[in-house]
Amino acid sequence: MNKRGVSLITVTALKVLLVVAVSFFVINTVIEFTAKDKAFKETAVEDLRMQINVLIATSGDSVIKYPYNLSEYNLALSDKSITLFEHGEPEDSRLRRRFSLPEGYTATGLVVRESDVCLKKESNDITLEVCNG
Amino acid sequence: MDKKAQTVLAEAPVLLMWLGMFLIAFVVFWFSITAITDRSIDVPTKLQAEFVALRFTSIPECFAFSDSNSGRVQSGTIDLDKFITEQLNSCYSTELIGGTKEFNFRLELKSLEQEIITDHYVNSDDFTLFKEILVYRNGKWVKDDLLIHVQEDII
Repeated sequence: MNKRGVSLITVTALKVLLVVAVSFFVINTVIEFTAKDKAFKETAVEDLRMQINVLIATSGDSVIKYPYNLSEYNLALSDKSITLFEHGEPEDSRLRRRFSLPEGYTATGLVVRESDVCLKKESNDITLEVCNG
Repeated sequence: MDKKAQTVLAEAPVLLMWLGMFLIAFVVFWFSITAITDRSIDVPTKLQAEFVALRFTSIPECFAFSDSNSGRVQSGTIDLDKFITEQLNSCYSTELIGGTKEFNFRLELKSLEQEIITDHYVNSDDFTLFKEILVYRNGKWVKDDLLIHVQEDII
């Protein structure tokens, strides 16, 4: 093979490498948006925040069951926020939504990989827990 | 310069063109996916504000009238004695959850011409929610409109 042939092979190999690299990034992006299900997580945590706001505005006791399976995630409820995260997920990448509680209200709860999750309001206490029955 | 080097140099613009095309395609793809995902998870801001504002006329910790004898709370009402800034701050405060990055409100009773604001309201209304309510004033009920002026997050 002459020198020109060698150089053309090198250039072609570089092109192939480039295509492989770009394909890798594209596929990786798709996997990030589908496998990790970012849309579902963001929707779920926003749903829960809205449900908490509805519970705050309910003058009596009540329970809301989240209608989708959350068994792949952990949920933590505090007086200021609801957090959804996967097992082992770093603190700074967890999805957190904030809300304001009226004075005298409390919000607590931790649910680890449970399919049926309920938000319950008893008196002025809102709890996140596994649904009974 | 030897022939090999000359050939590689001659191919360089073509290679750069390929690289540029792939980069453009990748950036377009990236923005498309991000836009589709963001749109699919977008919750209307008015709906979010509506859920937060539900509390103002629903619970006694905010402004809803509560019968002192029976303890019964009347939803969709405002006790005018409670319609003060201190009560609003105890009902809804953004101090600990982000200040101006959260919803802030200016509540206005249209006929009675009274208004109060939340702790980080800076007079920058984005939209207004309307509620027909009953106001308990000096032992009597009067009909009024509650205008809830909403200030979205300010960066």
